[in-house]
Amino acid sequence: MAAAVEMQGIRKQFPGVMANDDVDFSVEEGEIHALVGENGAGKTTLMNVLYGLYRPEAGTIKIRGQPVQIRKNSDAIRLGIGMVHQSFKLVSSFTVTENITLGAEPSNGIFVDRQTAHNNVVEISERFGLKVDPEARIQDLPVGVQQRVEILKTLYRNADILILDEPTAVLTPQETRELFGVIRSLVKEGKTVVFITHKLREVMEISDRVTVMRDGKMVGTKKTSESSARDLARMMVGREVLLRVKKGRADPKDLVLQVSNLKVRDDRSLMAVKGVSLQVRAGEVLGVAGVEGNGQRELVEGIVGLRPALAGSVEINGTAVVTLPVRGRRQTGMACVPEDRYVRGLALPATVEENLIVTSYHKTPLSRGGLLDAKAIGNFASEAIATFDVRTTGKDVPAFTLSGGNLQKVVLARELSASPDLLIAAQPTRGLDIGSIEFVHQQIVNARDQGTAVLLVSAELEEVMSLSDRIAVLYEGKIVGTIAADEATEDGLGLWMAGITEEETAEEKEAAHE
Amino acid sequence: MSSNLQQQLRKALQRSVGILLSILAAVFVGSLIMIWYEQNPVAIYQALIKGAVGSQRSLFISMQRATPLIFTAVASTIAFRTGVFNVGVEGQFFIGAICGTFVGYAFELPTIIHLPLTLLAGFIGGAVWAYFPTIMRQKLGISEIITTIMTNYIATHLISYLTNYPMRASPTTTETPPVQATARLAQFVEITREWAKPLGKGSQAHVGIFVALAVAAIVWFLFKRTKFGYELRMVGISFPFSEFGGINLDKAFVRGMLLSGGIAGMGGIVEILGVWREYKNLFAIGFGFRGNLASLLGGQTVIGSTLAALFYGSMEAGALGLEWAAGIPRQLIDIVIGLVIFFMAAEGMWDFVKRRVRAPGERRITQELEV
Amino acid sequence: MDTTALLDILGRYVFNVANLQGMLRLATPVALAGLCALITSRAGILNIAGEGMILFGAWFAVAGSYFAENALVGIAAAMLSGCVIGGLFALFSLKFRAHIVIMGIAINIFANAATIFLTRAVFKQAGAFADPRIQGLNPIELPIIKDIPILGDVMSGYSLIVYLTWVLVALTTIFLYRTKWGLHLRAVGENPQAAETLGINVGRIRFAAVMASGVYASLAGVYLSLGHLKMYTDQMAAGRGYIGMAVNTFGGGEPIGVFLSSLLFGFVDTIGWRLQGERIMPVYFVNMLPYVATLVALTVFTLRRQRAKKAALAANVNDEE
Repeated sequence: MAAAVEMQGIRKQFPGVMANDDVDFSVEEGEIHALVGENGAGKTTLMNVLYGLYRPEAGTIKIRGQPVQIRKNSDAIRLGIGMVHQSFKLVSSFTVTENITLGAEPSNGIFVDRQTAHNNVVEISERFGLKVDPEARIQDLPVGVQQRVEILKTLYRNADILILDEPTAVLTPQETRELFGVIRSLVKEGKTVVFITHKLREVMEISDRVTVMRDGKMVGTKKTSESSARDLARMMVGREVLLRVKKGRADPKDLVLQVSNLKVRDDRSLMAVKGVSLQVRAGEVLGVAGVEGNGQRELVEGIVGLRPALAGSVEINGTAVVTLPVRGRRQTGMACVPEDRYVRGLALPATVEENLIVTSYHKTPLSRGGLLDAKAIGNFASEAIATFDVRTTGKDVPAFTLSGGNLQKVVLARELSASPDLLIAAQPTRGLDIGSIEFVHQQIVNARDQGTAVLLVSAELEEVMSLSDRIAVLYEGKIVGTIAADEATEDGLGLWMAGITEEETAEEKEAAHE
Repeated sequence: MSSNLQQQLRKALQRSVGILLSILAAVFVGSLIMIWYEQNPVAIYQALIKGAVGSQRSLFISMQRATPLIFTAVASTIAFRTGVFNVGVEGQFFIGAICGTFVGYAFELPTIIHLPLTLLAGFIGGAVWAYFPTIMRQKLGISEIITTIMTNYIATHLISYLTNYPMRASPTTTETPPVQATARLAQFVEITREWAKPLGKGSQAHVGIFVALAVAAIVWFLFKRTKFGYELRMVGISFPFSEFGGINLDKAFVRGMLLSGGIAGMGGIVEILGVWREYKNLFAIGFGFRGNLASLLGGQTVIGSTLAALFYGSMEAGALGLEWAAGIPRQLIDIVIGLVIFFMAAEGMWDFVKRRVRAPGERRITQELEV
Repeated sequence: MDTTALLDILGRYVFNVANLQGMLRLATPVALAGLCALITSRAGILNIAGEGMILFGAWFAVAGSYFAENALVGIAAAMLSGCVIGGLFALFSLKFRAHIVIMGIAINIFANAATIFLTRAVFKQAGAFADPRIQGLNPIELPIIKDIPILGDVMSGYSLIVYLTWVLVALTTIFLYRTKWGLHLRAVGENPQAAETLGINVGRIRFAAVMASGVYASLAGVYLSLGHLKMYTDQMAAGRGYIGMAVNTFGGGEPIGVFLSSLLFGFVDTIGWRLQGERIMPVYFVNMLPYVATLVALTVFTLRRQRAKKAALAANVNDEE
């Protein structure tokens, strides 16, 4: 029997990164196929290609043995492919029925035929065992039910192949169990399900086969019953050792950063940081590893002062800073290389010089009275550019003329120029070339050696392992483990990152045998 | 840094070409209007230019018309660079005028104190008037566009009340008492009265132009060389960046708006002190809105706005002349300048044409338009 | 204050037929301006050009009525102008991607200048234009209703445009909630990505919404120039375009809410004139009333909403602990 989906040689390039590098991927009819990998592995991109949201530069797609051309989203839908994204595409004030039938409403002249729509929704909801109240409004529904609505949307359009992108990221354990029930009944009705996730426990529980991707490439496909979480974790994170930064032993001194039971909400008012405690000493690097989306952004923003803390405390050099604004925290010796380089870290339309002084323009020697000292500022900027080897045609050019690596150098120059006591580096090498990555790593180690306490938050496990003296792993808003860097292993960290703690490894071995 | 200079020149050139194209497009459409009005476009544009810069008198009239616009254009620019639209410049201009007028006629003081005091009163009046919409935006997030426009209308009626009751010169007039001689800004005609050929004869051009240029220069300096100016600029370029860097967004925002309102208010009192010497009902003229337009024309920079205000002022002078000569309503200038703004704001227009010609291509992702 | 005085005040200001009539009449242009703001805001577009569109509508209504000596032609001309100016606005800000706020400001200034210019150029008058040839909209007496005591006086005798507004409020509601396009429009406004992925043409809907807003606004202009006084005055809109935006906020983006909020404005306006007529309040303050009322109402409205949000979040925290 022909495979439900067969993708061959898919290549998708984005500026600066090869998201899918000659990927082959196939899914059998009627199976539950898990697609796993870290952030940036390329799994969502691959499925977006299948769903017609991206056009690949190369590659072919066959549906049930027939070669097809998927040029736009509607082509994919017509071929019976449906996708439920991580962020739901639902209209909050509309009812379940209105959302499901949107764009394809049954009509009665110019009016919408609400009765028919209602009946249609009831019919498919019962057929596939997806219980919903057709007239409830989305905004009143819990996330789990909203997801059911998204699934029903695809079924209403006769999807046979359903792609679910990180469906359990927003669900409670109870809702996850319900979702798995739904998936099993969908398969019983003859549907095929592809399930993107980084949570290996779930992969072992529900999938028939699993494919691992890494850095845009296909690593391998296995039958779930013939694999294990440990096995998959190794496939997910293992990579050639690119570079190990040369560093001596750390000599940590006084406590600089103390975070206690910190709780922070995300933009959707859900709790993203659920009581995190950590400590960083002067002269050491604490690396926080974890797949993106587990609360890293909110943790950093909560410490820096860009997001209010709901509970808990943050102390820098003994000063409680939770009530202080950003400038106040910086004054206690904090500096930060932010995750959002181009939004937070830099003002691209402004000049390099203007970008360099935003944290120090208000103090002598850069200003006196209310006036800026143009010469002092010029000197400061030129020095920073020279010291950090920023390749630019001048300090007065707009920042957007610089390359990514040089822009990060500008950020580093600014943040390190104050000889901070605490440096928070969030995803500091994302999107950079090898040379820039080396440079950034060297700067972090230098800062550590000069006595700065460094909190490194990164989704790149390799980077965390190479730079850190101690490593903590953040999963679903909590620290699930802390370990000294020389005792840590990739496999072990990979398991923590996928939510599997020590006690569970034994459990899942049992479960896999069922 | 020659390549940096090159880049800047190139950008200025690109921008000038854009403005030029927009002006040409607007002139073209304007010509169509004139033809419909059964006039000869070429003759009209000639008369316009003559009225603007064709004689000594024209130059002085241009200067006089430009003076209040420099204030309102700079005021608009300050607000815009801080990231807000101050369409309340109109109301702030007049409130400043009335406050200043009061100080101007109610006290008798030596000029050296009286004149600056009067100007200060204008500044404070405008700043205070800008304060209410600012607070509403800052604390409640209410769009400053609606609130500032409301304050414009309130200002009109409030001032009508003031000039009809408490501040009127006599029961039969709707004007205030004249401003004391010690608070006036001299007109060129008055200064050169003794000369054989007095300067600015036939115009009411006054030394307020120097005040305007001085204020523009100070604001320019403020933006370039002070802590405050830097904060305003960064806040206007990127809120998240400024917040991350430690700038106090609220303080910068409020101060920027108050400065904007204050300068608009100064523009109002300068106009009174130089031209009318008592408060007159001038609402129909639209100093504030023309200032907004001039600021847009000038690319929201201090220098650009000042130049644009001078240009607009000279166009107004030309249009006045046109009205006397050919009876064409002076609003034609506002229409043409409005058209220039349209074409300039639509820089996407040329891209759009280019893209359509090249290839249909992939569908773009939806753009959010809600600000 | 004793009961007789209280009753007297109520009788004079609230339960007074003349005042209620004034309220319904004065609410009309505000309601139409509100619908103008509504249709674009429901589509996710920030439209501040309402003021300018009203001005053009008022002017073309008078022009059409004058030249054809027929009020209906005036209405048609106004609506056409609304389509055109709405279309231009949409073209420049949606297709050519001009900054929508700047475009709105530019249109308002342009409309002001253009209408002043046109009055001088076409009618050779300055400031205002009145002429016996302008056909206004005459009051219509509703056949059966007019004979009902009290209610008849309040409901009957208005010009066509007032009744049309009531009809439009109902039609707009039906459009938004019962037709396919209304549903699509609301989807585009709330979650354009969702709409796009389901095959809805977001650009086309937004364009149509802006043009429709032009038509609504032009009808507000019709009321101002033909519905009451049969003349055109410079700057006739007097800020109603912006008050319409505020009314849309209070009305929660619902046509009926917009209408009720505009009634409030009409009421405040009428009372103001009443107070002026009785020499209690000088005319200047009466003139200020709509604008001050807008500011006060916006403040109160936003404060209450903020408080409600805070309460909801506080409740959430308890759930999670």
